[in-house]
Amino acid sequence: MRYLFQIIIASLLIVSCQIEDENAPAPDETYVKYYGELTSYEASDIEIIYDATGEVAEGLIVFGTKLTENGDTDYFILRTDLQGNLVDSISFGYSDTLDIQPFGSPDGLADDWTGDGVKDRFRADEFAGQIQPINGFGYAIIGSSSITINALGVSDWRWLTFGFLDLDLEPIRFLNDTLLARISDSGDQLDMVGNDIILLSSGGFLLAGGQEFDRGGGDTDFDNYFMKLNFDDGIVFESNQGISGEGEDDILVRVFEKSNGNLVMIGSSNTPSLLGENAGVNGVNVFYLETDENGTPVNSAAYGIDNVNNNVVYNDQVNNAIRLSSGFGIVGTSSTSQNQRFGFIMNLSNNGIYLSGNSHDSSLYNTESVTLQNTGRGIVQAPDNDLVMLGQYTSFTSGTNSRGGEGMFVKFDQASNPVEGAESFFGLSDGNDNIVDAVTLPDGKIVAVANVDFGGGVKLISIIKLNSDGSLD
Amino acid sequence: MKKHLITLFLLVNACWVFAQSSSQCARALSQAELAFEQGRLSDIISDYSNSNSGFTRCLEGGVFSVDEEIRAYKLLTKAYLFQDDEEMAEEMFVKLLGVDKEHQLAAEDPAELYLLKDKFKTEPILRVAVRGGLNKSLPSVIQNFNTFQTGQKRYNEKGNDTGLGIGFWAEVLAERHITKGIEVASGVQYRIATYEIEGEMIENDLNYVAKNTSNMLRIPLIARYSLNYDNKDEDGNRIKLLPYVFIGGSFDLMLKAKYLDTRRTGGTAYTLPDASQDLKEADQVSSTNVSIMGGLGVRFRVGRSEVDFFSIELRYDNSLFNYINPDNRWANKDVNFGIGHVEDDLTLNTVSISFGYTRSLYIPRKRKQYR
Repeated sequence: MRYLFQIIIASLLIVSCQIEDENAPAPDETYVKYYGELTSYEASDIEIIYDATGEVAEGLIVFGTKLTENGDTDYFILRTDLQGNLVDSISFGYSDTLDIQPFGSPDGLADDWTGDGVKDRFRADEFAGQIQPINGFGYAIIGSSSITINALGVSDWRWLTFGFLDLDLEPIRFLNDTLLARISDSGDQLDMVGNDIILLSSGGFLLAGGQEFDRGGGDTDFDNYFMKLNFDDGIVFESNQGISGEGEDDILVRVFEKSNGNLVMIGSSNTPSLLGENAGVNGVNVFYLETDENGTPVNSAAYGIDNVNNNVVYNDQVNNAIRLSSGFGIVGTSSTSQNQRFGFIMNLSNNGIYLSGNSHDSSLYNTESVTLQNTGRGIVQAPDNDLVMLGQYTSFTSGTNSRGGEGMFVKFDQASNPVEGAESFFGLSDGNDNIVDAVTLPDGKIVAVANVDFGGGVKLISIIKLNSDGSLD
Repeated sequence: MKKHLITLFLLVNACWVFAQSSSQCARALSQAELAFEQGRLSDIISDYSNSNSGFTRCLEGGVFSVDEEIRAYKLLTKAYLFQDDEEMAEEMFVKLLGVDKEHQLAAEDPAELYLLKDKFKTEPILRVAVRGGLNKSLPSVIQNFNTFQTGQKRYNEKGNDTGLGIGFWAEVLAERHITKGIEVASGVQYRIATYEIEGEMIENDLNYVAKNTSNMLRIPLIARYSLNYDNKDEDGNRIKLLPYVFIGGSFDLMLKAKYLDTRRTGGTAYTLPDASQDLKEADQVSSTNVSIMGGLGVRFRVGRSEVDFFSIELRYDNSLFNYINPDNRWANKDVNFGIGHVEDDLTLNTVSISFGYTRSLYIPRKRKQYR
């Protein structure tokens, strides 16, 4: 019997063995992560957080919005480590339960608009633009807030809003407030939208977006708006630029600082294309604006995506742009005269000269062999210097599966030609999903941020760490 | 009615004839045993040699009961043995072993019979065991992977949405006794193993259940030690209860793996079609694996000769390598995104209870050195 027990013990020791596969990928190689609670979230930007020296990547930060319990959307900021594990998050925005003082309104609006001697409270739906990590300081954010003040009968009045957060994601008070606004004409409730904010080498911030104008009479239109701001001095300069005309919109999307101090702003405009494409109200083009460090324009150009093989007009709405060593990579969505929409990519030189561009009219995933419409939302440069367009495929049928909107990943070489085998889609089969932006990590992997629609009003933010060809494994 | 009456008459008649024959055969065997006791060995042999004798007709005609047949062959063996007709004694002994596979000699049996028995292989050349039972999977996570922040992923916890991870298996083994109760066995096993995962993407609000079912063909190799294998009780009878332990290994070949009844609740509920992709085809699970196993059980001797067994066994199967192919962990978008599930690196272990029946197979023959 003792022999029996000895064998039992030996057997237990043996069968408890387990061989770990050393080749199994560590969790930081590729992943899909969801974030959020049971409500609706929407991301607009993702950036890498570096340490104070700016050399060591420490994590990721996502900027977007969240549907609150009160039914309005607030700015939402989410921070993760490089493995996609949530570090912390915060949401804030104009609310009818908070006292917020508007900042710098041109006609000196006070916070007591109703004149009842009590600070006004109003609610707003926030629309996220960009977030800019500032090494060793915190984060700058910019977007737009759609204001509703029932007492004044105001509804969907868009303000450019921006703010700053410290390294713990605590909003920084600046000019006595945490969320600052620029507004256009209060009488006509004209809109301002904020799309980008960057830290300048001089220490100030450059903000950019669009400002709505009423030229009198017909439709209003937007002009480019940009402003330089110092923490100590407030506004250094602010300016508008654009074509004046009914419905002819010029809106800046991204801003950059060149090494000589000049400022480059990229957006969409009704300015006629230098390539000869249609412009005006029926033709939207990519717009390049360069100013000196004081905001005085020194150069501008407009280019459009054109298909030389047909007479289809492409109206190119810019959604994002990045700085490249060769110049600028731009992504957006073209609406065609045939009522179709396709993502596009464009390369401009450091001086704003057109280098290449292409429209993404893939039919790769569509078994019905018709061109699959899509939108271009984000752009990132892969380690091999190719450009990756992020966005969304519209509903399509792949094999026996029909799919709703899917997040899109597609790669283009530096001549804007599609790279074979580097196209993929992500998302739920029946949700309206899209990828909005991405960053390239120091390890060469690409982290995309997506909005994933679970239906029933539940939308979560997802970050997806991919190989540079768009594969997950 | 008439037909039934005739049938009944014939049956009663047959029984009466058989009873008469049995009675006569029992008398013939008793007479032969009496002759042996009286030392009239040549009478027994001549009686057996005469094909028309009642004794021979009873023996060859299958009228003897099994016990009578054993007594008859044993009697003939002894008779030939004492007549120094070794060849016929061996022939009778082989016939005896044909009836009683592992015939146990009694204390009063002559030493010559013991010597004769020693010349023969009386142990089974092989045993064939058929076994089947239920298993419960016990996945052992090597490394966690999640798509969500809570990390709340539970395996086989019986709840509203998940089961216990119960599967089924069956095997056929060929077994051979080596020495002193140690046996080796090998064969084929078919196993269905299931594990069920419940993931909480958003606590109480956005959850999923993923049920991974795999079908494997396994080739086990087992070494078993049985207590009481050769032991006898105080009355000289073999002990009927044989506790045993075993260890072994198995080469596992994946036949198929699928997600069944895999669904997400929260938002718009989504169920992965059961007809979704075979995980083996998609190369998401390892196509081969190696397991080690151990367990304990008890065998009961069954049958008249008590050389066959009924057994109950507890077994633990420990897979050595990752069940998941880490290179294709994210290959199924509908699982990753639609369900929100991603597989952990894990070894798919099981604990099982099974019932088996073992049949001993014999070819009675002389040992090599006596041929």
